[in-house]
Amino acid sequence: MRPDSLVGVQQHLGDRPYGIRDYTVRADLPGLDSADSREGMIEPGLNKMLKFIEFLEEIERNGQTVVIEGADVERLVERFGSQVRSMGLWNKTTDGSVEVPMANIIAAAEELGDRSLTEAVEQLKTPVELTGILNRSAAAEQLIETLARIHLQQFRRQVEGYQDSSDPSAVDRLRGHISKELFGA
Amino acid sequence: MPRIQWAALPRGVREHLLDRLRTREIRAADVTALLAWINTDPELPEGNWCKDFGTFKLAGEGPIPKTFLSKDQPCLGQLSTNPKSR
Repeated sequence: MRPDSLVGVQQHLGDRPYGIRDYTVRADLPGLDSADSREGMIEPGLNKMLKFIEFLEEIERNGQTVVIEGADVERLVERFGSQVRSMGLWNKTTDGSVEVPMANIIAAAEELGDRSLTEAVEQLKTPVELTGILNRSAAAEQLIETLARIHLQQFRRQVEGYQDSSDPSAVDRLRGHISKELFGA
Repeated sequence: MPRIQWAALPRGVREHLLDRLRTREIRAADVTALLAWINTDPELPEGNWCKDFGTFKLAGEGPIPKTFLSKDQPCLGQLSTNPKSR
């Protein structure tokens, strides 16, 4: 797998880069032939899903965010519509990138179910441009729709928390989040 | 067609909206609808425009968002209740 396996996607974990490219799936399980043993191939069926979920859980623990660069965001918008910008925090006043928490990708993948999940896994792990993958796949559209819905639901819960909280520090924090989401500042 | 320039929104206007949100004068569902609309990067009229979100309205002129109105305040100037989204 090439180190730039997710061209157009940056992954950030504080100062330590950690990416999907760092994950290699074992291919020494029954049912796999030698062609499946190359790095980057994934296992069929349940094993594939379990490995994927383990992988996502690991990066969720690390609080990882996938950043889709602004130019890629606009290309995806041309293809899939403006909901692409709702998949995460849209940096509308700066570079136009969208930040998607990996935890949300986990939630979306689980919601999509086995077949779509499998396709989503393959999209995330195939060493070609993410935008190219998304442009080819029906599951990609489902993933985008689901991510957008999850993100807007989270935003609404943040707003409700802002309205309900009696903790001044929580109020300040939520006010900042809401302002950044809406106005970029 | 102009796009909204959020950086041009006066800080006081922004803070006022957040204050009204905190006191529930503005509903969470309506401000979520605002976010979804913002994310469409809507095309706006050259002149005055106004978008109704239920418990508040957003008014602006061309690319500049100017103020948030309460639900009972009328929109002034050219009215566009549904600026085109893309």
